[in-house]
This record gives sequence, structure tokens and C-alpha cells, in this order.
Amino acid sequence: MDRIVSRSIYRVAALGIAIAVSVGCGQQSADLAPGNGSAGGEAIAELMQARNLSEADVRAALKTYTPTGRHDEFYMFASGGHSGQAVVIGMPSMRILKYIAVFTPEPWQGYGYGDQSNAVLAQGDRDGRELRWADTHHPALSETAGDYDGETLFLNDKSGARIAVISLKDFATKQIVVNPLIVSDHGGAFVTPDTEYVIEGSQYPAPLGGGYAPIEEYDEKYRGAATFWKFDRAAGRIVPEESWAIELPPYMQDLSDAGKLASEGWAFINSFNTERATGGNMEGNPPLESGASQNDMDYLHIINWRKAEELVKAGKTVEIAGMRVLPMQTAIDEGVLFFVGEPKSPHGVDVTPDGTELVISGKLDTHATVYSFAKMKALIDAKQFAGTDPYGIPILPFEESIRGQVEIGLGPLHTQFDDKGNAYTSVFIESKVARWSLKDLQVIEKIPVHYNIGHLATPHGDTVSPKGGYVMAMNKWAIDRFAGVGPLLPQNFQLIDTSGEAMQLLYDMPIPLGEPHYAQIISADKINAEEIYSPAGIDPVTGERDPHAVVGGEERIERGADGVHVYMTAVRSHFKPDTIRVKEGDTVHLHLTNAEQAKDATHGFTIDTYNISVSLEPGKHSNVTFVADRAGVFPMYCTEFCSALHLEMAGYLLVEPKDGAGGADAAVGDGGAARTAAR
Amino acid sequence: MRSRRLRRVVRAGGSLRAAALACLVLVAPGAGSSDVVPRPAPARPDACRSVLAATALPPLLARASAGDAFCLDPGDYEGPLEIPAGVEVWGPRDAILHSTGKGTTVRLEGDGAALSGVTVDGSGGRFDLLDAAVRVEGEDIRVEGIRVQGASFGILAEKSRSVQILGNEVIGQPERTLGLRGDGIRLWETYDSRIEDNRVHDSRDVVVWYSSRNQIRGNEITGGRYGTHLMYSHGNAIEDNRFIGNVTGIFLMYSRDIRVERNLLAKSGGAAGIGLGVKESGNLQIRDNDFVHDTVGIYSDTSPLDEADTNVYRGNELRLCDTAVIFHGRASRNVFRDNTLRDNQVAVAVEGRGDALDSDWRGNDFDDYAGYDLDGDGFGDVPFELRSLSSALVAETPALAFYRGTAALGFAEAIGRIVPLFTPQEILVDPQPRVRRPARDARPLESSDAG
Repeated sequence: MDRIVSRSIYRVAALGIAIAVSVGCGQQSADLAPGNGSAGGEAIAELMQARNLSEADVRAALKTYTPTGRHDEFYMFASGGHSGQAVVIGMPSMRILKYIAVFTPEPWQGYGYGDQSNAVLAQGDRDGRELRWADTHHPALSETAGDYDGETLFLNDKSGARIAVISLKDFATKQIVVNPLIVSDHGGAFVTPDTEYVIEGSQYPAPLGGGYAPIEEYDEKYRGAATFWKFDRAAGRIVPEESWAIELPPYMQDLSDAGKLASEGWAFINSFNTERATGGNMEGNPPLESGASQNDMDYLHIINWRKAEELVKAGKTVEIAGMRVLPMQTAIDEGVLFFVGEPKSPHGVDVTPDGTELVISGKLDTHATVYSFAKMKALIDAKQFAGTDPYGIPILPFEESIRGQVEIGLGPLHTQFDDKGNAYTSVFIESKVARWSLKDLQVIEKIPVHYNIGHLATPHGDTVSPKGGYVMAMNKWAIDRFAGVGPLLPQNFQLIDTSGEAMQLLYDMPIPLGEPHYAQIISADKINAEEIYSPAGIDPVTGERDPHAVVGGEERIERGADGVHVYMTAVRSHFKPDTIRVKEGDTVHLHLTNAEQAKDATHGFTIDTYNISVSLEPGKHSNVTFVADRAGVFPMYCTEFCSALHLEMAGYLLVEPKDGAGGADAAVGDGGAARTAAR
Repeated sequence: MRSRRLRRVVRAGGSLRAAALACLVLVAPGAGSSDVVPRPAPARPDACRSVLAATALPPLLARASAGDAFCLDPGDYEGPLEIPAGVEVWGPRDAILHSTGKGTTVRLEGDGAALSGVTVDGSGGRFDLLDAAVRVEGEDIRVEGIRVQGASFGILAEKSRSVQILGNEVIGQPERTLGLRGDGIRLWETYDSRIEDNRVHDSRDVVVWYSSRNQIRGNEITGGRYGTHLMYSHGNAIEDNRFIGNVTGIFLMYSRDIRVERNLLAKSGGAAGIGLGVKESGNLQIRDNDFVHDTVGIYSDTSPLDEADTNVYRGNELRLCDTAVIFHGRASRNVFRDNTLRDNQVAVAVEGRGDALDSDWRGNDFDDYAGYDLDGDGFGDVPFELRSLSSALVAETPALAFYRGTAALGFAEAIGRIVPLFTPQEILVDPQPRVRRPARDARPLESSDAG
């Protein structure tokens, strides 16, 4: 405090001197003011005045501006919310690096417009229904020994209870798994410290495995579940047949975190609506949100997943919809599942970097509660319980389970950590980020954010090795932060510098894609992305050379029993072959290989009006199957501006009428018919 | 810490009146703008059946029918009790109903039940089960003049209507930290009820959630966290209460059509020290309240939210606050009339580099107004513009607040007015500021009220 005050004195004195000088020197004052310089004939002070910028603004600009060719220190992986995608952002410049297509077709990447990526999307279909959007909430980077390793990204879909696997070699989606037990998730994706498992917790209870039960039988027949998806690190895939789940009561399970170091082998899942309210606001019941916030506390679920894994291996499961499920009663009897109270509509549960404690905040609380894992473990070992819930799950005594509480402010939500022993908690109702001392449980400082912050993220902030320096406030509302774009506004990411004594807001970044919810921030040196697919002809989904890959000189068109196979290469600046002749009604199998091995020499491929959009990164192979169901002439061309002769990188699909008649007029449908009629 | 900061402010230029008002609050928490008159003890019901001390009450109550009343002699009684519909249990304060240490001690879950006069001692300790001294559910239920002590939660009313919670004393658990206490009084899904003349000390919150058209009047709530917290609760009146030494005096959240009048909101401190907090709430009438020695007097976050709503702040007095008024984001459709803002470290601040120029200020009294009143009508002849360099510096470097009123910041302020290079951001304009503090009943600008 003394240091701050004395610095402030100097600052005021310096300001006074600067003012005096400026008064005395007239026009020269601008150039003499601290920090002035000139570039292109404009002094910095003049620029500041012209743009109404303060010193703090200029400092913020200097801390985020990244000159051309220079790379960012961190990657941020944010969920893309309703877009069903993931967003990759460079930090601190806040430059968007990529939208990764995950659950949703994305034409630039050709995702959902070719056989291989269609097959990935189809993995995510359920109940015979194509799901082509997703509500992505929580990305999870793979971890080794509790720290991000930069290999794999997992992403959940709340609306369809699905998990996607994305390789960070090529930033492309490799797999989608559908959870057959549940119909919505939230507490996922979260990984165990060596990514043995990807945890997916349910959100809204329903009969496990699907099917109908009257809402009046909610207590008896509706259930939640925590699913532990086994991850095969070598293959980079989830293995559903080695995965399993634990049956949970029909509370609304919420966010999760995996124990680490001191608490390794355990998983923690928040919940709300332990009141088991089911709404019915037109049937004489309180609205769901009211009923669900009636009680003062809900229950943190404490799961000994190592022990559960042994029970699963010992066969103490039942099979539901093809998934092995540890029944709730077995979990109780075998000492796998415990509860402890958590105050006032809890939301985030975040394990501290050393794994010894958990920070839990309630949306309607003003405190964050710091739970001691050692205390909880001792209570469990001593079987010292305050009681049981209606399903017989033991409840640990609250006060004996905690180290203390921090008075954060109104509506604390989520907590991340830095490398100096500080915690950072988002404060929803107040719209603030609070920095507080984990050791002293005292708030050090708060900074306003705009508006209604949800999650926040710090570099490696939920690992055993947080880096500090920044916090990203992920605000739900932007209101007046950006120029108007109609009633649907972007979310607002606000980058905050935490390296100094006082936190400083650096940058506002609109996210006009969906509600991102959560992000993880990883050091850029952990990412080892490939620059090309090599050798040419790689199927990006399998990572192997595609059986239909085409090498230069072997391009051809073959007619077979299943249709016409076109083996085509793309090289600047032509497709070969560039003329394809088929008959109306033929099934056409395009086998497209970008034969180039040069970085960024990407081609695109489309056939006009046939709803085809393929991305051919260097060395990538794509297969596209379609029926040439309309006779006519269809230009095909490269959709990427690949060279000076990009426009010339084109050709024709010629679909001859099957009866030898009709021709052009028949091919253009109603318009052609109208024109014919007009003759 | 509080008093040390107060001394700094007073020494640094605060008025004698400010010091006097502060002393009033600091030394005599029972005094203020609206004195609380103790409510008389509830009268012994006519034709009640006397009950000897230590009598087992549950069998009596189980056989009782509507219209019965039981008058307890002084002494000890074992809980838990369930008072049936239409039945009253009365006793003097030294008739004590004891908890067994588990669950809720007294339940009034039938229409027309009443509990009056007695002391309810303790409850269970399960927060997940809302263990309380008294739980109310029904219509026309009355809890009057009782004392609650040693309980996790005090008086809970859930899914109720026309409840009367009158003149009770709820003594919380000061030995426990705020987060480990329960609520003193809690309304949930409760309507058309009166919460009057209660004294709630050292509990956690007084909660009004999903509860509309209630009167919260004449209560004294001290030493807690949320003095009163409204969420999704509309049409409530909060009047003549005293909120002293809570973290937050009143917090209005997602609520509309609220009257907040003649309350004292003092010494609201801590991590979220706010006298009155408003989040996404509208059509508020905030009148004639005293905000004294709060970290933040009024905190308005995105309020009003609906485009058709206006919030009116009139006749309030804000003194000795670190910051009298903070807008988090936009300030539009907020009307400030006849308020006094004196002796605060910062008068008005807008978070997020905005301003309050689109809020409507008129007839307010600012201590740093440097204009004049040649025609003697009580209003300055030039507008008041809050455009303070020192405020800007303080906003960026809060530690400078220590020097507010000193020569150093005064020098910066004076120079800042002269040298355009340092022109600070304009915060607000009051075109007709007062030159002296308005009397509470003086409202010459009534006709121009947007509210």
C-alpha cells in the first residue's frame, strides 16, 4: 500500500511538472509529454488526442499489438457455442486463427461436403436423426501429468450429449461419439491428468438409455450419469467399448473437474436442482428456475473414479443402451460416490494447481468456498457423514470439509489460477473479475468487465502448472461495446493483463458466432501442427494414405459397376482431368488429391449447382460421391485464389442426357421451361 | 479501518455536517433518518388455553382445531412443533421453544396459523435441508413478536400468501463467518405479505425471491451480507428500514416496479460494499433514502433493462461514500432529482470508460459545484459539469483517493481545467444544480420528472 501511495505521489508530481512545462512551452508541449514520439509525421500525443486515447489505452495497445510476421505467445481454444465449432485465437493479439469445424458442416474446410467428413458427422447422428448443429460449451485440451500437452482437443455438445475429438496436428475433427445413456450433457469435456478418460457429466435428467417415463415418475425413473470415455492416446480416438458410466440421482449435474496430484483418481461434479423441481408453470407449479433454487445448498458429487474403474473391470456393472453402467447403489455400497453441500446455486468447481483444494462458487452467493480434499478424504475414510440424500448417498458435513470461504462479491462463478498463488474468479452479478490470494483467502483486487461474465480463462489456468500473465473474461453480453449490428449481438471477450500490481483491461474482442462459454489457453510452443499432409494423398480423418489417392500421371476416369470413378489431381493451376463426361443418372465418385507439398498451396473444388465444396490442403485427399441427376453443362473450378491463373483453374462436368434428347432446356428446370414456353 | 478512512476524509475537506452525520451512524446505530419505534409485544389472545411450562406441546397441537389458542407459561418447551391451521401459540419471551438440534423447530403450514411472543431457540444445522427456527407455508399465517436465536435459518416463508412477519427479533450467529450463517428472513414464492418492524442482527441475508407485492417496512437489518436481496420479485415496497453494517444494503435483481423509500443504508462495506445495488431492474422509485459511509452508495448495472422503463432517484442523500454512484455501463433512463452528493471521495463514476451524460440530472446538490446563484432562487446559474481530472486519476489509481481534497490533487484539478491537453472525460451535466442542500419535502422540479 505504501509503495502504491508513494508511486502515486511521484505520478501526481510528474503530472504537475509536465503540465507546467506544457504551459510554458506552448506548442512544444505535445512533443515533450511523456511517451511522445513521431511516426509518419504524427506525434503519439497528437494521435492520442485525435483518437481520445488515454495513457492506459496506449499501454494496452502496446501490450497487444503484434507486428506482421510475429506470432502470439498463446493459443486460446474457445468453444464456438451454438455454431458447433471451436475457435482458435492467438493471444495477446486476439487474432482469430481458425474456426475448427466440429459438429456443423463448414464449407471452407469442406467439412460435411465429402465422404470422409460426412462419415465423421454421421457418427454424431442419433435416434435416426441427422444432428447438424451443436451447443458446444467446454473444450478440453489433452493433458500429460496434469498439464496441457497440445496433442488433442475435446469438445462437448450439450444439446446432443456428444463428445468430439480434434487432432491438433491438423486442427481437424476426427471423431464424434454419442452418449447413448443421456440426452444432454454439461460437465464435459474434462480430462483426467493423463487423459486416460474424458469425463462427460449429464445435465438434465431423463431415463437412462432413452425411452419415456411420465414426469410424475421423475424421482424414480429419471437419472443423471457421469460417463468416463476411455481415450486411446496412440490412436487418438475414444474407445466406446472400453468406456463406462456411473448412475447418478436425478439432480441437474453441472460443471466438473478431475482431481490431480493430491486428488488424482477422483472426479468432482457440481449439481443444482437437488430439489428435483420439474417445472409445470402452467400446471400450478412454480417455474423450474424458482423450484430449482429453493434450497440453500446443492451437492458436490465426489467420485472415486479409480475405484469405480476397478469395479467396472470386476464386472459390477449393468449394460444400458450398450454402455456399462455402475449402478448408484453399487457406487454407494462400494464407497465410490459421496456428496458434500455447496452453497447457493453452485456453478464452477475448480481444483487448485496442487490438487489439494477445490474452489466452488454459487451463482447466488457472494462467497467462494475452498474445500480441502484431505479433510473430505479423512471424513470419507472415517465414514463421518452428516446424513444421506433421498437415494442413500452419504453427505459429508459441510463445515468439516472446507478450509474457508472468500468474500468475492455478488455472484461468483468460475475460478482459474496463476503462477503466483492467486486465483481469479468471475463475478457474474457484479460483472467483475476478482483476483484473490489462495493462501490468505482474501480478495486483492477486482476489475469491471462488460457485461455478465461467465467463464474466465488464464494460461494453463486449470492445470498443475498455470502460467499467469493474462485472464480472459468471457462475457455473455456486449450491449454497447461495439457498433450496432441489429438485435443479435456478439459476445465479448475481454483480455486483462494480470502481470502488474493492478489488473488492466487490454482488449475487447467480439465473438459473433455463438456463445463460447469456456476456453483453455495453452503456450504456443506446446502446439506442433503439421504444415502439409505428407506424402500427398492423405485422408485427414484416418491420417493414412487414402486407397483412392491419386499420383501425378495416373489420373483417369473409369466406369465401373457402381458408377464413374474420377481420379483427379489438383496442382496449380489445373485439375486433371479438367473435363468429365458422364451420363445423366450416373453415380460419380470423385477422388481428389492435391498433389502439392507446398505450405498454404490449398485448392478448393466445386461443381456449380451440385452443392459440392471441397478443401484440398497440400497433400490432402478427398472423396466425393454424388449422382449426376441433372443433364447439362456444369463448370467446376478452384474456390481458393491459388495462383495468378486461379480463374483459369477450371473445367467442365458434362452430363449427357440419358435419352439423348432434352439438352439445355431440360437441364435448367422451371426457368428453362418458362423460356421454352415463351418461344 | 473504517473510522481511519473516515478521519482522513473529514480532515481532507469534509464538512462539519458530514462529520456529525458520520458520528451519528458510527456511534449510535439506532439513530438515523427514520427511527424505529419498537412494536408492542403481541397481546395475549382472548380465551386461550394456558399451558404449563415443560408440557409436551405436540399432542396438544395434534388435537387442536381451528380457532384454538394456547398461551404458554414462561419456561422451556421441546420442539419440534407443527401448528395446525387456524391455531395460535402465544407466549412471553421467556417461554422458550427448544430445538432438538435437528430439523426445523416450528412449522406453521396451515392457513391462519399463528406464533407470537415466544422465543424459538435453535434449529438443526443442515443447510441443504434449510433447517430453520420457523417455517411458514400457507395463507394468512402470522409470526409476531417472537425472538429467534441460535438457529441456522430464522423465519422462512415459502409458497405463501398474505403472511405477516411482524416485530420479531432474529439474532443470527455472529460467531460464524458470513458465508456460514443462514438467512434471517427468507421469502420464496410468497406474495402480498407484510414484513414489518423486525430486527435482524448478524444473520446472512434477508431474501425475497420470486415473491411479489410484499411490504418490507420498518425493519432494522444489521451485520449481515445482503440486507435485503430481491430476485424476480416485482411490485414490492421497501420503506423506512435501516440497513447498517451489511455488505450490501439492498440488492434488486431482475425485478420491476419497486419502491425504495426513506431507508437508511449505512456502512455497507467489504468486497461488495454497496448501499443499493440494482441489476437489470426497472421502474424503480428510489426516494428520500440516506446513504452514509458505504463503499459504493448506489450501483446501477444495466438498469433499467427494458427500453420502456425509467428509474427515478429523488431526494436521496449520499455522504461519505467511497463512490456515491457507479454506473456499470449505460446510464440512460435514470433520472436524478433533488439528491445531495456531498463528502464522497468520488461523486459519480462510470465503469467501462463511459459517461452518464444520457442520464437525466436536475436539481441535485454537489459539494464541488463552483457556480453562483445571482438571482437567489436556490439554483446555480450555470450548469454543473462533473468533469474531474482528479476523479479520472483516482479512477485509474484508486490509492490516490487518499489525497482527495489535498493540495496535490487540487493542483492537478486546477491545472487540468486550464490546460486542454489534460481535459478529462465529462461524466455528467446537471443544468440546474442546487446551491444548498434541498429539504426533503422540496420538490420544485416535480413536473419534469420522467418517473
